[in-house]
Order: sequence, then C-alpha cells, then structure tokens
Amino acid sequence: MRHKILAFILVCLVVARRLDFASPGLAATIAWIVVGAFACVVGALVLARILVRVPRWVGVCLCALVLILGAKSVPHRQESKLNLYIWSAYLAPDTLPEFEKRHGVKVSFDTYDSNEAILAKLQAGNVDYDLVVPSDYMVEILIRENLLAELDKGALKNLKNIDPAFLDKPYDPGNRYSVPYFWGTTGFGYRKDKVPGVIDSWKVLWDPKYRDRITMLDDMRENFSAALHSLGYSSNTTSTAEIQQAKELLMKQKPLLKSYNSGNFHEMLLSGDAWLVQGFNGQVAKAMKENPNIGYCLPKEGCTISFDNLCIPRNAPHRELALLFMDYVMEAEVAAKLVNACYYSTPNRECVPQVSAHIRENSAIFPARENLAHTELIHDVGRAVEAYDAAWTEIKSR
Amino acid sequence: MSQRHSRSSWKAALLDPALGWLLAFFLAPIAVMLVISFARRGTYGGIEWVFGVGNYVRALAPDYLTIYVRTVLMAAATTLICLVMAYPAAYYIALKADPKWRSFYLLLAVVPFWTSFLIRTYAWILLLRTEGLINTMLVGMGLVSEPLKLLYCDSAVLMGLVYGELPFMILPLYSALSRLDTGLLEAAEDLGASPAQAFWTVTVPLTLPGIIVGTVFVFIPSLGAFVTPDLLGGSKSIMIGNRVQDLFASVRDQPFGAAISFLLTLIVLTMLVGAMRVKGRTDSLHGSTI
Repeated sequence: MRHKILAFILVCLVVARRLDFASPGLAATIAWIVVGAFACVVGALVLARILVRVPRWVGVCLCALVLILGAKSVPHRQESKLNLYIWSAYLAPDTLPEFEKRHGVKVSFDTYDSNEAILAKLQAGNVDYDLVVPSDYMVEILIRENLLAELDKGALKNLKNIDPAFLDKPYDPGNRYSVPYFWGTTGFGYRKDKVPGVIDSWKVLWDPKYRDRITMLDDMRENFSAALHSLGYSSNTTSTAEIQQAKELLMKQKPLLKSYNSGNFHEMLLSGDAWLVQGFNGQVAKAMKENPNIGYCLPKEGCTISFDNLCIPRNAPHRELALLFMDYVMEAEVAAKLVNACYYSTPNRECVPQVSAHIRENSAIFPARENLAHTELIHDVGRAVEAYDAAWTEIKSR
Repeated sequence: MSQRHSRSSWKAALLDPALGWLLAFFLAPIAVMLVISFARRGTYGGIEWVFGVGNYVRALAPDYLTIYVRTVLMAAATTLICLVMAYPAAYYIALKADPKWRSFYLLLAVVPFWTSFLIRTYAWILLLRTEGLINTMLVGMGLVSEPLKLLYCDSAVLMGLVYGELPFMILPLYSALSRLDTGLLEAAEDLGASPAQAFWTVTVPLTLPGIIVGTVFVFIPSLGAFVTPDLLGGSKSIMIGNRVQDLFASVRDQPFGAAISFLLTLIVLTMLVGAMRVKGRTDSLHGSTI
C-alpha cells in the first residue's frame, strides 16, 4: 500500500512541476505546488490510515517530505545566467546569442503583453528577473512602489549614444532607474487606396463614410487620448468636464466602429477588413512593409508617445550582468540590428546610419522631429481613473 | 452497523483530495475576494483597507444593470439554442443510432476540445470577417453584392457561445436519454398516445434532470464568458466577464472587480440551488439520478 501512496505523491509532484513550466517564474506557482501537493497528500493519507493502519509519524514525515520536495521542485536558475522579462518581438535573432558568446553566460527570457503583468510579478516578489522593460507610466509606478534598483551609470559607457531628447523624462527624472530601449507613437494606420485625400487628423476616424471600416484600440486611455487630443485637451486631464466631452465624442464614434482591437489591427489593415485603425506605429510599419498602400498618420492634434525602458528590479540576482546587457544593447551596431528586426523607433542616435535605408525612410518609424511636438506621455492620473473608467463603462455598455 | 459506518467513511475519504483542492483554491480565494470587495482602490492601483459598501453601490449603477441584463439574456439565449440543437442530437445518439456507432458519435461531440478554445475562436474570425472565407465565397458566387456583417456583432457572439457550449448540453442529455426506459414509450403508444404526446408527456419529463444539468453546465460558463465577446463581438457590446477582466487587468481596481465577481458568484449560486431543488424534486418523482 505504501508504495502506492508514494507513487501517488510522485504523480502529484510531476503534475506540480508541469504547472510550474506552464507559467515559469511566478511566485504564486510555488504556493500552488506546495499547497496543492499537500492537500492531495493529506487526502491520500486519510485514505491510507483508513485502509491500513499507518502509524501517525509516517503521515507527518510524508507531509514534511512533500513540503520540502515541493519547495525544491521549483526550478532554481543557474548562476551567471541573465533572466530577461521583455515584450514579445522585442529582440533581434542574434541579440542574445552574441551577448552569450561575448560574456560566456546564458540568457533566458520570458515575454509578456501588458505592463500590468510586470507589476503583478514584481509585486508578488520571489521572481528572479534581472531586467524588465516597462513602459513610461509603469516605470513611474514601479519606482513609487520601490521595486526598481538604482542604476550605476558608471557602468553604462554607451549611454552617450542615446539622444538626450529621449532622456530625463518626467516618469524618471535624471534616468536614475531606467534607460529607453524603444519608443513609439499611437496614431492611426490607413489604406491609401481606400481613404483618399490629405490624412493628418483624428477627424477622419469620425467620418461616417468609413462606417464599419474603422477600429480603435481596446484600451481605455488610448481611446480617451485620441478623443481628448481632438478636442484640444491633454490626454492626462483630470477635469471631469473634459472627460465627459471626450466620452460624448467616443459615444458618437462607436456606431461607426467595426471593433475595438488591440491585437491584430495591422492584419485587418492588410486584409482590407478595416481601412482606418488606431494603433501603435511599429505594428503599422510592419504592415507598410508588406503593402505600400498602407500609411501611418501622426495626427496634427497630438497623440500618445510612449517609451519602453530597460530597468533592473530591486531584487535582481545578477545586477552586474544586467548592467552589462543594458550597455550592450545601447551599442550602435546592436541597436541598429534591433531596429532592423523589430521595426520600432530607437532612441539611439548613433545607430541610425547602420539602419536599413527603407526603415530609415519610413516616417512611421523615424518621424520628423517637428511632428512629435504635440505628442504626450500617458501618466497615471490617480483617483481620476475612476471618472475615466465610469465613462468607458458607459461607452462599452451600450 | 460498524461495518457500514467504516465503509461509508472509506468512501468519504475518496473525496478528500478533491475537497482539499476545492478548499484551498476555491473557497479560500472567494473568502479573500469577499474581503477585498469591501476595500477600495488605492490611488495607484493597490488596495486601500478602508472598508465600505461603495463598490456594491457602484455595481448597481444603470450602466452596469445594462451589462447584467445583456449578459443574462445572452447566456439564456445560448442555453436555449443549445438545448434545442442538442436534444435531437442526443436523442438520435442515445435511442436511434446503431449502438456500434454510439461511442463514435459521442467522440465527435468531444473532438473540438482537442484544440484550444482560443485557436478555434480565431478560426471563426478567419471564416466570418468581411474579407473572410464565407463572405468571399458568397460575393464570388454572386449571392450577395456586399459582404455581410457576420463578425463583430451580437449574433457572432451568440454563435461563438453556442459553438463553445454545445457539447456540455449534448453529454448530460445523452446520459439521461440513454437510461430512458423505452418500454414506457411503448406503453404510452399502446394506451393510444400519439408519438408527439408520448414525447411531451413521457420522454421530456423523464429526461428533465438531464435538461437541468445541461442548462446549468451551459448557462453558468456563458454568464462568465469574456473571450468570445472580446474576439467575436469586437469588444463593442461587452458582457460582465469583460468588465471584470478590465477592472483587474487595466483599470487595476481590484476591490470593484472583486465586488462584481462576488455578485456574479452569488447569482450563480442562487441559480444552482434553485436548479438542484427542481432536480431533487424530479429525481424523487422519477427515481432517476444523474
């Protein structure tokens, strides 16, 4: 009988380890494994005590064993291994192999698709990421939550390659905790063959002619950013009256929309399902490469600009290595390869000559500096988020 | 007596792993959620331990009532369509099909589960979109001049929900129908009942427990659906599941999200208790259990 119980425990552990592989690095999985296996074993023991008279101490020992094994089964990462937590499609094919070769270390990486995922993981603690890539407003929050380590600027020789225009931003004055990796804008992509005329304003996304061919991002703040900018307001307003006006505008737009779409708007542009899509420049630029009839507009009224930044979590196990990696991706050659592979805008001015000509000439990726005059960062608006949320609920509930 | 007692406790022990699991991962989180739902959102998305019923008051605002009504209507419509579509299928598999093929037909009902629901939903998008397979074909054959609006509307969401939930209706109905005593149908016929009469007065009442279980299996997941309204509905007419997801993931208002989730749980529990009561009554009437 006992070997059957042992086999059962073994199965529990195997299942637990599989769970961990499904979402590696998550502190919660540790709890999952230990508590789950524990619950199963306690159940099995009760069963066993009834079937055969197992002495109580055997039960206690088994429980302890499971707890210890459970804790140990959480894979410990090796030393001298850099753990990266980064947006998907944010690395060039040889970025990591080259770094591994140069420093004789291993690099592993996980990806995420929302800033909130970084916050949740770092808040949960017990994850050993050495480098994360949060956006501007999330850097602000992470600093406030005391989750980031201050950078040793002495180790960042290549910081000089970064255009000063992209440093010292309000979310991290003096770049004490972050250096910019990529930046981007949220304008809209359009089909030149379907939407004629001069396209330079958000207004066209409210044109009834294009009913059912327009999509907006499924993102509260980006929707309000478009509406508030068209009204001439700041996208970070905390004025209830201005939020209300923006809400009215978005309500008016809703019947014209095909869908709210944050995932594959660029594909809808390519397939011709949608002709006007609010979206991020990088994704639209990828579509532009495949179809020359696709254009990208930075609206004259203004739009969102965002920065994704390299940061080191406060409890990162390999800070030195993380700094080395930061400095490495700021090298002109490495940065150029990143742009060539990812199609996002780079803050690295030294790398521009090495970027492929067709990307350099793409105005979605390298917009003229004067077109950025009206762009605005999204900030955390504190309590006002409730007014935004109420308005957004009203829009979405109709 | 003691023999009997030890046997039943032996059986109860079988429940232990599942009970432990539910206790740790179902009841405990619900308790945590209940506590959080009375707190309030910290300025930057944390939880501020200031207790009040503000979240529940907010959850009763007119916008939310609209969303609740839509959600319940959507789930009810899904359940009804599933029932109407699944009953004949289950009837055929259980009573009319060649017994040799029975398990094959049942297998067909479960085959969709071999692929992730998300991937199957994306496949629907490829079929239904304006420049998708169905519209291209219809326009190409000259049946319609303009592509039809098949995607990003309520009917697309309904279609997706029915598609996803249908097997959960077929299986309990099959189980109920396969244990139907066909002798009773013959008796009804002998006593002069028409086939329709026999169906409504014998078959349906006897399979009522299966109908109730299927209804519960379909209605509850539809109530909490969020992937389908998001992908097939274009996130335009949201259901309550989308709101909860939004509140946790992007607004980071966990207390309010918890309050709404808890209300939803409460509604589901009330319905479950009601369904179990009805089922219990019919069980004792007909002496059948599922």
